[in-house]
Amino acid sequence: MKKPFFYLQQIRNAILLIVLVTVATAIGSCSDDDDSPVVDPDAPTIIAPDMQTMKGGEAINFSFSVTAPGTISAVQITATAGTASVTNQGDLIGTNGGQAQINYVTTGDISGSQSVTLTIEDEQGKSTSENAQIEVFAPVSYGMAIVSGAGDVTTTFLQGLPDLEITEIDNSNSTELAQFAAIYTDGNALLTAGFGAPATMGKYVFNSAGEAGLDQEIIVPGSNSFSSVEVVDQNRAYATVGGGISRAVEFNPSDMRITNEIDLSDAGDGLFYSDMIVRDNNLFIALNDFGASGEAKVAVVDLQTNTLEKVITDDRTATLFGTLTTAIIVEDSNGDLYFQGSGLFSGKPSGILKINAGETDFDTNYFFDLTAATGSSCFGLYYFGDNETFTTISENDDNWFGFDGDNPSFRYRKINLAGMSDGGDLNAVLPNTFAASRTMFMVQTSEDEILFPIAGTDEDALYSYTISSGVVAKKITSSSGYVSGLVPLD
Amino acid sequence: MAMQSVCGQAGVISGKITADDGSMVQGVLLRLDGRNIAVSSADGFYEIKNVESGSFLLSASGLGYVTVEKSVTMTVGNHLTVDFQLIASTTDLKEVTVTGESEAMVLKNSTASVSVIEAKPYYNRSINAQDLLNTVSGVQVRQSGGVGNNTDISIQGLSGRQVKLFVDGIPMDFLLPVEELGTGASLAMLPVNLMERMEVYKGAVPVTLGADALGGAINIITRHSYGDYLEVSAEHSSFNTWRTTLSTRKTFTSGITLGLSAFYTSSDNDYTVDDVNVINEFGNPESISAPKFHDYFRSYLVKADIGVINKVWADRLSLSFSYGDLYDEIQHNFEMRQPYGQALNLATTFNTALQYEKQNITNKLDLNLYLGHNRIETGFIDTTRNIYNWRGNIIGQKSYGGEITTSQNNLRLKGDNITGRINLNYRITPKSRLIFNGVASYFSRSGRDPVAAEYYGEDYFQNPVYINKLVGGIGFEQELFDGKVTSHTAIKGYQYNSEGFIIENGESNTIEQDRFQPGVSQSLKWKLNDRLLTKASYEYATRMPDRIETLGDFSAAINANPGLKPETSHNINLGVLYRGNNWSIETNGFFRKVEDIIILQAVPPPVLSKYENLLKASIAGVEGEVIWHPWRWLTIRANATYQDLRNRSDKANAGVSSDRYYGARLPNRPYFFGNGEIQFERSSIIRSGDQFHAWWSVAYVEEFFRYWEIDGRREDKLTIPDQWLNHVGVAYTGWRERLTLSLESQNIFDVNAFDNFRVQKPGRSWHLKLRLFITKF
Repeated sequence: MKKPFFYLQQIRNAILLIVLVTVATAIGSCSDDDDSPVVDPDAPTIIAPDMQTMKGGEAINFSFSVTAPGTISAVQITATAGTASVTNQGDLIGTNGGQAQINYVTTGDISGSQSVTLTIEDEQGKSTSENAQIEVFAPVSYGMAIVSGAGDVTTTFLQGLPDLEITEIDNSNSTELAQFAAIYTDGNALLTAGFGAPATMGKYVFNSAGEAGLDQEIIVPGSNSFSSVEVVDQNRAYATVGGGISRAVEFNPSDMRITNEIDLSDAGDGLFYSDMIVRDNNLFIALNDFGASGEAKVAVVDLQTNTLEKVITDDRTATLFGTLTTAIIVEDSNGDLYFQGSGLFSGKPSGILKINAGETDFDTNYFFDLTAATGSSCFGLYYFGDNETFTTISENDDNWFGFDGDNPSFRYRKINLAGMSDGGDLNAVLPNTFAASRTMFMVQTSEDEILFPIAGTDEDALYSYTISSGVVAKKITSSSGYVSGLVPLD
Repeated sequence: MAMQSVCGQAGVISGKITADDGSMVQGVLLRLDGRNIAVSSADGFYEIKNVESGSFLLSASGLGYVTVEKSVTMTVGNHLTVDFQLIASTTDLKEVTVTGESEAMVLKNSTASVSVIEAKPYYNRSINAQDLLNTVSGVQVRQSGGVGNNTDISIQGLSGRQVKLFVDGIPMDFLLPVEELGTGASLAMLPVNLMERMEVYKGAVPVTLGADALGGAINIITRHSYGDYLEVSAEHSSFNTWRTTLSTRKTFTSGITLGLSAFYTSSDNDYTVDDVNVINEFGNPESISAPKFHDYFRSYLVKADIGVINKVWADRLSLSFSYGDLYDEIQHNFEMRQPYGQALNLATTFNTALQYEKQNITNKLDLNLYLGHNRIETGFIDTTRNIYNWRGNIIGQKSYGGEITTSQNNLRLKGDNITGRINLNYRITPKSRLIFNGVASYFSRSGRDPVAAEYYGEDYFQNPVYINKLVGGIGFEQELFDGKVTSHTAIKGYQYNSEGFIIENGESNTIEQDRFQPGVSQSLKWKLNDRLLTKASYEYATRMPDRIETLGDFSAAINANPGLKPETSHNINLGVLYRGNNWSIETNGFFRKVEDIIILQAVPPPVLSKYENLLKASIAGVEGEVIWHPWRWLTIRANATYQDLRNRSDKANAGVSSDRYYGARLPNRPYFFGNGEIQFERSSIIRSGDQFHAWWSVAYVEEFFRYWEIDGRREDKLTIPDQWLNHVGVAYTGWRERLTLSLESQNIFDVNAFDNFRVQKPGRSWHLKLRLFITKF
């Protein structure tokens, strides 16, 4: 066997060789670096506009500034995608410059970075070309959240959709979040309320490729998660947090800054703020004590002073249980508010309480006993008109939280708030869904259409309910998990 | 194998044992073909009766002396005189190396698919049990921080509760607060300097380890050398980390032996973490780098034992006592997004154990008994309402609740465990034996939490919990084809009975569970020649749902599910080991088919979450290790593991509505990793007899996905990135091989290290260690 020093010498020689080759390559490559363009001072000059942005399927107008030493003999325009035209081409020919007015038209399937190239040729045959950079944003009219995964490894995926005229959806072009999150919107962006400490709300905007990306976050340290969100408009929204911080925050969705805080500690400890709604100058917050008091509790906040005005209670139902994805408070066309109590853990029935328009106390003359009417406990409340109000009923209260993954227990149900009557199953053939443990929401997507999710054992889908006909049909099947949120975007 | 004959024609071997100075040596263990057979008397003489005819290897081992072996040939009725002159070893390093290697080799040459890590070569290093385990092929240790932090151990793809840990054959959760504080804190109470070796069983778990291990087992053998010695080690390292150990033993000529071992470990764990958020007045996060400020860890343990060895009626009888204490601050939540400033865990352990060993207690029968009482007292303190940021400042207060829990906690739990184990080894013929192992344990626990009681209106933790376990196994081992093939067949039974409580609608109700589950295994070894060894094993393994899974844990908002089924797995291992003159290569293939995996189905508290049987999985993989020893002064070792973990659940078992995830790679688990090391050793560099030792080790883990690979836009997916961690160190041993000084740098290139998503491990650290070892005092 050779001595180790022999091998060390071989290694040293190899290293020296590698170093020499690297240095020689580097020196050789330096000579190619000088490739700056040659400018002909006698050729026409074009000044391109700044980066333009537009939405796919739309048209924009912009201009190049053109100067020719002689006169312009030809104008040509091309685009990497879509159709570009010079609208004042005739005005430029024969002149020595001006503004070349461009009309650029895209189709809905065009997105990403595009360029429009203007070429000017003068009478001496010299030509110059210049690009205008255009960021074409894929049209996004809806934001969707899908919860994907199996076993205990699941999370939320966000994506934008140009429309809902599809029959299948997956998450292949979705943005993966680090935690389960519900979605809301201020009309422009997606707001996500994640589950997990500390409470974190993300604002996601869509890039030109239609991909959702994190723009800014609001975090409430020390809290476990956001528990409910109410977006009033693009400049005002409210959110409550859970897990020991008795507080609601007012924030501005446009710049994602907390602007005010509302102390809710006088409402009591150990409460989960399960839903809220703004009406007039009041914020009504559903307080869920998981049946401990045997009452339904609502905090009434004066938004003029941002203070807790009072806590109202009613013992005809209890446990205002709501989740991040599911509403339990609605406002009807009269301005009356309705609160849906589950009665969980309290021995009380599920029921709906009412606060009349202009008032801040429960209407003692109104109680819609859902359990008596439907024969079951109920979860969720959605209102789209006096005859178009919905909840879900549980066929098996032992599986409210879906631990038996083979047997979803909730069914969509139509109810009448004014008549306090049960309208029966939304559709008899509609499969059961895991409403309280996975997803339940309803969203109106047109004057005549309401969409809602089914998270079942055999399918995850969005179903449509046609208001005028009452017809229920499967709209979009998800092959990647259940749909936990759908919001319209401008 | 040599056996004592039962016929009157057998012979006798006798002789005297002297030291190199001519003095007679008492207490020397005589072995005939590896079996303990006699001990030299006070005047240094020994006698072995009833030796049948044949050729044997007779060895004499005395602590503090180099083992001497002699070949003897016995003829019918003969009386042989075989004297030994023993040479004192300068340290017990050489002696233990001889016996340690032999025990390791016995294991390696057994039917078990096992890796053995000798702790001795690491006594001079700054290495903990987790890092040592991580060097084994097929084993992946994921840590959530520094000293004492959460640890998850995976063996060939199975992990968490599926891997069982033992200390000297006793389930670790009987001795240390594994269940309450996790594996990381418990392993921090087992310094490498107080270990003899680690046995990592990757395939069929031997019946001698009496527990329901689904995916392998790790048995940590503590030091029980019976020579006279004193060892003290002290290490100081970055982040104000101290690790000190003391181990000493005195064995008298009467056979009485006294031992004392102790350790003290503490660390501020105040390494800098990057990209953590502080929140401005508008609620927006600002990313900063900041040192951890509430992750102090301290533990210590004192253990004393008294006993006798090498008696006719007992090879060993010992009574041991230990007291340990642990203090562990909690710095952050699961994904390091929420810092904590005051929450902490406490633990105190009291262990008393009586152990008895005797080979040939009757003809052909060996007996090993253990009886122990272990008390584990734990505390979970979460009483402050303060909210901390990553700068360590208090930035607000909660209205109610603690930093972690809704109720606030000052929870004290006291658990008592009485464990009895009997191990019998009966040699039916020279080529076959029967092994029986039985472990019975009785556990009871109750507690109090006056702070939580104030919130809930009742102290639910006062409700007692009882668990009775009975684990039995019978193994039959037989050599076939002139000893070239060895077969080991085992059946096991697990009986589990528990009683606890659940809280329903504010009321506490008693709940019970009673289960029995069988297991079976078959292992084969084929020794083709002196260099080539092949192994194959199959095990139908079981893991019973544990206390928290079946009875729930109110403090963790977990509800009971007495209907849980045991996790089961079909485990197949195939292995080849080839030993060359100065190199060896070992390759193992493995396959697992796991069913009814128990998974926590989490729901937002205060609704209680629940464990459910979800997911089936298959694991197929291969691991290999090469060791090359080209010169005496150089050793190169490298291993790699590839494991393909696939979901085999249909939609009903996966909790989803389609079979989309069937066949998909399981997320958040490493699938390719390895490590390597170069060691350089030279003697007599400065002075005669001194030793210089240098090493460079590398650990690698391939990037893996946090969530399912098939979901989402690939380029934006969340990952746990590639890891390349380099450690280097040097050690110098002098003063007649008694004193060692070592300097080591771990993660020397200071790269960001992650085992879990967003949870950073320490950056570069420096370690200075001094070790003193004295014998013959």
